[in-house]
Amino acid sequence: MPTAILTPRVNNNDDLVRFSRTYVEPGAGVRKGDIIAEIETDKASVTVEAEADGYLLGFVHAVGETIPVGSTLAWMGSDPREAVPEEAAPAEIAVTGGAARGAPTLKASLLLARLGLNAVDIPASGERLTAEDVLRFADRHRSPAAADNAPAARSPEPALELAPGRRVPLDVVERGMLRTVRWHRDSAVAGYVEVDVDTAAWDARAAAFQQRHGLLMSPLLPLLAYRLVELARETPKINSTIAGDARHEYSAVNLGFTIQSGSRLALLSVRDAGSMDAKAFVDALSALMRRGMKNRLTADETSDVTISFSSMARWQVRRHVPVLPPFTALIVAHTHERNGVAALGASYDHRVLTGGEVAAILNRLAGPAPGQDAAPEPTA
Amino acid sequence: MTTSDAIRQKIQDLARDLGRSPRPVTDDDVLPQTGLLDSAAILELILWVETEYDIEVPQEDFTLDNLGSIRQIVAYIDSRRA
Repeated sequence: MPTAILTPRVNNNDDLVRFSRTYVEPGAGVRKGDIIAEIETDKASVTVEAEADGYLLGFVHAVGETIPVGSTLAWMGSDPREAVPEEAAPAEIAVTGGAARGAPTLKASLLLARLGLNAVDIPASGERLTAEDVLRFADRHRSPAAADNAPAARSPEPALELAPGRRVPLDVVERGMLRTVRWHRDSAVAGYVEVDVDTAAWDARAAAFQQRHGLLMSPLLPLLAYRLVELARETPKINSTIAGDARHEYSAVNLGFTIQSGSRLALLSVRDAGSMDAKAFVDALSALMRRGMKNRLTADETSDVTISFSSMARWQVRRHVPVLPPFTALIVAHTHERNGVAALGASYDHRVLTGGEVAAILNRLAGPAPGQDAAPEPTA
Repeated sequence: MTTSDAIRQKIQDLARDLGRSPRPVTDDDVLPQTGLLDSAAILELILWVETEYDIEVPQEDFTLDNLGSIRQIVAYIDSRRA
């Protein structure tokens, strides 16, 4: 039996919200906690998550529409072929505007959200409103000033018209990565800086830690990531993001750590890493890596990251400009050592941090904390 | 193929995936010190052992003493299957 997902309240004073984005197509399987859509007001935006495992049957409204708080936003079911109640047919099959106007395709919906347009204002050339319809409309109607803020209108994505193929739903990890790169492209003002690292001090620190705790694997990368956690505790600004017209400093440090298993890339989330000591952090990250490699990650283990670390050293990469995860200000990238020197780079949100601030953080990260170089590990 | 040889072959496969030249590994070489495998590859090796020999390695057993060499891995497998 279909279950309704209701439209949540974003602000106390707003009884209407704008349906701004979809993350899942009707018919796709979702897990509890997966993000399916985004709604917003003038003040803030929030994501809407699946409340149980199942299939998304459809959205009631088209992207771009204004909808009442508490109304049905989407329908979930245990079978993708379940019919939704007739009084609330999904937007994908409903006619939302004039007699000849169809509901937008997913690509058109995403484009509408990016350009700030409403589907009901745009004539469809066929049964459905397509991305090309939206682009044509944007070219004809938007002012030069508005066009400056709509890069998609000036340089549409080359793959809007797809050759015939097979539709393969994304899994939870792949959807997470899609959201990550899309946010970086559309919202963050990304910058990049890089410093050299003398690896000897870090290698000595990792060797001492490994010996002290009898670890099977070198803790070099986890210890570098943990040093970033320590710096985030000391400098909360790097553990923040922009929300509306203010900076939002996260109360916990949730460390994101990228892993690649085969061809799959995941961003692990070590939650509340700021409350851990180094050994607890190394253990927690190791356990998450194992779950990631076994493809057993949950949505909680790949979400709510507040600051991140990534390494491509194993692929002998000398420069690595990482994609900034959503709603974060900093991700640090570690690279391959050559002649005793590696690089630490960082992508950052220039709305939050300056290049100088990021360079200062990287220079502190370039060596272990004072007293932690090759000193024996203290007993717990 | 013995268990030791199967593990040795897997180590060489993982090293090749990392672009590292295969070289002989004895049963008593300390794996993290061979230079053949990085941390992620060692993790992949142990996950392969879990699948191949149908055992589960608890997090607390991820130590050099338990799994640091081919001989130790074989002994560990035997102990878990006993």
